[in-house]
Amino acid sequence: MSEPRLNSAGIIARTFVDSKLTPLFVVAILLLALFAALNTPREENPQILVPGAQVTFELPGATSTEVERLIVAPMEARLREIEGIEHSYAAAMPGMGRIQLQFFVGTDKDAAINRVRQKVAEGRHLLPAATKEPLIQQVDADDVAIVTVTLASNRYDDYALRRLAERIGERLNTIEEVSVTQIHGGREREIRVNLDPARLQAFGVTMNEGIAMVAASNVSAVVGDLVGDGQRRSVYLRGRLPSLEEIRRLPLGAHRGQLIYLEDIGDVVDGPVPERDALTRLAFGPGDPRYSADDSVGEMASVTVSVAKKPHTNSVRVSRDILEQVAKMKAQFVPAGVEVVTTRDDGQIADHTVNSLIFELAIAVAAVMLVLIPFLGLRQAMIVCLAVPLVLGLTLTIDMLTGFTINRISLFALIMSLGMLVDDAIVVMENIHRHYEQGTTDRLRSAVLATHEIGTPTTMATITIVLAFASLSQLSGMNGAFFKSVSVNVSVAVGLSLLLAFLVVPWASQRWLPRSRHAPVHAATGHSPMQRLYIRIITPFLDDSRRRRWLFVGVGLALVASLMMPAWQFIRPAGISGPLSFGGVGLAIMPVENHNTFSATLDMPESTPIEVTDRVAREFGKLVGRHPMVTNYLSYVGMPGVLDFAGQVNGAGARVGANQAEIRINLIDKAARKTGSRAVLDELRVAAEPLLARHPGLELRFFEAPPGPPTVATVLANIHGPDPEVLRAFSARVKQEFQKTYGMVDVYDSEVADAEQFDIVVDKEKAVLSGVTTADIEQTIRALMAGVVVAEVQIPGEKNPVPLRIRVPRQFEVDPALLDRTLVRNRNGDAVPVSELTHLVKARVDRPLLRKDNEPVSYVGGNVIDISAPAYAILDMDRRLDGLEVNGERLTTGNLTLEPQIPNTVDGYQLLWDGEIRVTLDVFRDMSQILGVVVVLIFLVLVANYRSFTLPLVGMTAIPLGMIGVFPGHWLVGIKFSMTSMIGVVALAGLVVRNSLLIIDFIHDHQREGHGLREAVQLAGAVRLRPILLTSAAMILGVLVLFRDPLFIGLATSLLFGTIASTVLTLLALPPLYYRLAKSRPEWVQARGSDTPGLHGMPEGQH
Amino acid sequence: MCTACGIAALSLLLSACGGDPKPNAPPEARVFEAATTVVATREIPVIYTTTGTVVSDERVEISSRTAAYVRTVNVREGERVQLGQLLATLDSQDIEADVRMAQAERDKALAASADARRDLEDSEKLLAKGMVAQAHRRKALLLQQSADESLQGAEAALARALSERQYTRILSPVAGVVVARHQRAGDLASPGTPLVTVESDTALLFETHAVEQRVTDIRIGDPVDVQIDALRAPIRGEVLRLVASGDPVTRGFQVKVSIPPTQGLLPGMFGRGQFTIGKKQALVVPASTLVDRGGLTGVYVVDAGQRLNFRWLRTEHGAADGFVVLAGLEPNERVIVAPTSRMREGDRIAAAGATP
Repeated sequence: MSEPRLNSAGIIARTFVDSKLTPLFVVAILLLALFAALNTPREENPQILVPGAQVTFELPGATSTEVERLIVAPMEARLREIEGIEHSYAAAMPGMGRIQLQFFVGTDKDAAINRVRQKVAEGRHLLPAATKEPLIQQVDADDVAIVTVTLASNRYDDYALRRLAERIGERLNTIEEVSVTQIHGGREREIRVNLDPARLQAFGVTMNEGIAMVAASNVSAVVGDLVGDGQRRSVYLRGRLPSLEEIRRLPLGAHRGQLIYLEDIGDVVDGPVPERDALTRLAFGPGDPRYSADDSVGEMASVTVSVAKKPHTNSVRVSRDILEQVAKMKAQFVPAGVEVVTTRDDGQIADHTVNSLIFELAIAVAAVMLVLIPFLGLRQAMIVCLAVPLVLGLTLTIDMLTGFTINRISLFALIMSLGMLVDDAIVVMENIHRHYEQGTTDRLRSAVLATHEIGTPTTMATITIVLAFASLSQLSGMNGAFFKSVSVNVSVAVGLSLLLAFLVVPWASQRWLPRSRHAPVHAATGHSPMQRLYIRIITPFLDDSRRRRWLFVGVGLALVASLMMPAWQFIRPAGISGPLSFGGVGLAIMPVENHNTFSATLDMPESTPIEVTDRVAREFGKLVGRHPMVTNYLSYVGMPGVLDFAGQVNGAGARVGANQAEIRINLIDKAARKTGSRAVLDELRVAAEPLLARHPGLELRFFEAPPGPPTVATVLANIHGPDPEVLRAFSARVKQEFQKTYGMVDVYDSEVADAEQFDIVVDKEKAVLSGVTTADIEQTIRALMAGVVVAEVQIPGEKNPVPLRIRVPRQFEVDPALLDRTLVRNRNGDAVPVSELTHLVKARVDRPLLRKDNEPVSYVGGNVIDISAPAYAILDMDRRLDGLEVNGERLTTGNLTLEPQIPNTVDGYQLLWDGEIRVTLDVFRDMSQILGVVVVLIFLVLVANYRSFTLPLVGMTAIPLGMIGVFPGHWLVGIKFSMTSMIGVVALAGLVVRNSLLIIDFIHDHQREGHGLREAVQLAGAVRLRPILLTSAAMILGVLVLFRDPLFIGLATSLLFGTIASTVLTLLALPPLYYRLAKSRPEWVQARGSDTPGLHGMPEGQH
Repeated sequence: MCTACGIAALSLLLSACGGDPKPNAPPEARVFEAATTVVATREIPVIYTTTGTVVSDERVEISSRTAAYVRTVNVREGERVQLGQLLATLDSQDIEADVRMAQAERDKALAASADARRDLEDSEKLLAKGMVAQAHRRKALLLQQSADESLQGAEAALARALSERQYTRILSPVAGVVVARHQRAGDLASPGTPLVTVESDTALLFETHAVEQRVTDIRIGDPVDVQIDALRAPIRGEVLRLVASGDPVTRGFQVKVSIPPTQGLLPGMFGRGQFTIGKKQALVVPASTLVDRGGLTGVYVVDAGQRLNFRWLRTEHGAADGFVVLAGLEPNERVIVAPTSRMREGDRIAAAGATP
């Protein structure tokens, strides 16, 4: 063997094979790895930054239509001028308009909110003069609470609990990393004047006078300075109302020479409001030991403290600090009878997830070692496994330095890359091992030469993997942000593994590999039994062209059959709807995950009073509270629960109203139970059917945080069109179609049920005759109905100012009789009953008008349960809905294209599909582009290497061969082909090319060594058999751990079955294919270049 | 092979997480002996409430007949007076002088009359003796008659002067309560200016205003519940008078309600009149069924399994013997009559005996 000119792999090996630096380098990396593993912030899922903003306008007294025409439509158009806005959502309600802007993922949030402020300021003058100052709020993922602690009690009411919670929340702010603490639920202290309209009338005092008097009585100020005696003294006017007693004795005016005090016209009460519009409760389930306790039975009044952390802090540490602080406070001042329950702890979840994944990573490493030992021997396996901690450590260090966190996704990426990163080490080590077994005297030189030998194909193969994963970073939107760490971690880890394979493995090998005990043997005769078996199998395909043809046809048929598995559902005669056919593989973008928590929302018709909603919530709570997997559940009636990230995206925070309730259900930790959260959810859904039958207007929906980025709803139909009435009719029809669809549950729409309202119509003539203006009447009635906060009282010892509210107790509310006793004073001082100037008309509540992306919209949404998939449901419904006619208007459907379709109502009514399908299509678009780019890049790299256009194609046949395994694999495992499966396919493309490249390279080497083509093909397959099987086995074992995670099971299935199919079929079909094609292409072997001149012109195979 | 062993071991390890934990048992349901009642809708009156004041039907403002200074006022506000009781005295010096002058005039006339009579007797004696002429007697008779007339005139003048003196003592014309004392000793009382106001407390009325829209629903003779804030129990009255002319600005019509004499009821008290202006169907729960749980007021509903379920209610006053349920409960549901504080969700009741 002549000394060849070394390639870069050889040069690296030669430099470090005997260097003293190498062990130092190894130790340094190990230390770095330890440091990085301990100090990188941990979180469960990577944080996605979706900057958003919400602008709220108020125009008192305007109808929805006016608000839409005057405020929402022009402002939305104006705000959409800002670049980087992905979607805008708007709602026009009576007297109020709201515009929500959603920016593209990754937009700078501060810049975004500043642009919004600027645009609103610019457009301010276009709004009606009566519009109040617009309220601009930032929607920030950092505001999502990581820890919630709930105080619950059967003994204390929510007022007492809130005061406790406020104290706890205040103390938590002292923790440095805490950003926002909020108190949810419970009633606040207020001083309330329960006005008695009859007494007001008796004293001849009008509401407006009373309010003005109270407000004017509560003034304190520094009014000036007084200088005297060489000193300056402030003069302070003390007019504040310091105590309840003084408020009671507040004189409001005189009546026939007698003073009227506030207490004369109403009761002054200090304490919480008895009439409430929201409630929160907690109840334990059978999963918590407190379920059995006597004093914590049933639904208890509860108040929740939620805590969010500052960005870039370690959620594990923050949540631990918070809970320690809470535990201390509990011991200090929380009385017995108050349960302190941690109802959310993202830090602990993150820690559990990360720790269990690190454990799984260790298992995977051990498994890979286990498989290597029998094949390679103990020492060899140790050498390979030395590479693993080095690569992982370096990758973690790079994560830490570049600001990535350790999260579920990045750890999965590492586990997934495990199989790939041992590859390089195995290949290098195995080749050195082979060289040593063949006998050598110069161990150093053999190691370098062996490294040099496989340098080019290994580098090529690694580049293909890095290319495949690096291009995953081009995924757009939230998915891109979510899977970015996969792309980064895998490419970095695999790249590093190549470097370390060339750097550390030769050094370790020459030191620790055993000397060969065999005498030098000839390569051709030194076959192991396995290699001999392989040659026996492969030879007939080389020699017999008919057999070869059958083989190719068989492989082709298998490929078609595999591809038919997912495609059949779309083209089968039975139609797309309905259960999967036997052998079919479903398509679903988001896999099902096992969570510790999920929520349910209850929507009653809009006219439902809170007491009835509360009753339904209690009935539903009973069903939840009986389920053995439930540890506790929180009911929020009339108010939204504590937001999570998914809720922030799907607008759960806006769920305020007496007809709405939200139930947050916490389950036993997923590590301690076998039943999945989806199964619990499905059981509850079935259990709730009688409830739905009892309350016909009830809409019950379940929400589970998606394993990936959140969407508004699984299936969402945006119906756009100009006329709200027609939209409503379409919405009703579309909702019907939704309900008819197979596998569709949780159907809801955005149309509100008609609720009655009382219109107080002012008789202008009577009013003029009585000398009263409409404005007087408005002010009086508003104070009566809603109550007004007229002052804030500073009570000594109280942290916050206590509002002084004047209101009319509920027993007098919205009663036409009320107006008889409500007086308005005219210019002459006569008190006139409002009822004499007005009359009541029953009317329909003004419905809100919704807009999306500048067009009016009505939403219909639903969820698809596991037996079907959104894509099937949508395609099925699309067929039924396209061309639907209502009131002579025609509906066209759309947005099932790869590029998102923008709403446009010029051509009439339009239904655009949204939700998961949009994400699916976007991902599918991105993924196919990425896959295309990856294939082209791999091809180009190979072309550059082999200097041939056809040879790379032969090498790349491994990619379709891999596809043969993917779909049957999904069918076997019983899962749907999801987005992570697709990522797996892209990864597979990079991975499987390696095997064929190694075979091709060895064929060339053998040919150059003087073997004929036939012999070279036989030998190359046989020689590469062991490392190919080894790397594949390592890959499979590494990936096996991923099967535990619902998100990555698709990826694991794609990789595992793809690798198996590709490995087997590459070994079987590639040599015959190469043989068949190479016979007429002698230039392939010469393509290697000038570094092995001695091998030129070798005779071709004689067969 | 060993690979297979490895995979098997691994999958075993992965699936080693086992089954579900055993659920905790719910606490033992306690059983109570408690009476229940089935709630039902029934007819309740629609009430129209107005505010008003208790007024007296007889109210006398007593003033002086003559202009005179007030010497004493013998009663105070709030004092109960009898018929004919002395209320005040006026200064009587002018009147005394008039009396004395009249007495003097009378005495003068009396003397003149006695003198004329003697003259007449003398002249009759003389005429009988024939000492004087008939004409002389006729003249004496005339003089005597004239003196008598003067005496009568003087006596009348005296009587008038004496009666003037009686008006300086002001007596109560009715039995009742002094509600106002308008003038004090030393003030000049003049005719038309009230000195003291006395109200009769035997005939009290409740005076209120009904708005235009309601006044058509009110008829004379309708029963009205008058709730006086100062008194505990409502008083049953009836509409006595409807003043058929409203105020053009405030659109109020005066309604007077007669109320029976009641202990402690005083004119001027603030009250509410509850007019029944119709009937409606409503769900009524007895007040004893209501219970407060964690700041919520509601009832325990007994389900088919005799279990207690707390139900939050929205109620309003409106029925005499309970609360009208606006939301939260449906007819024919069974509720616990007198819940105890020990009862809680999920407990049971022993007896199924429902009282209607």
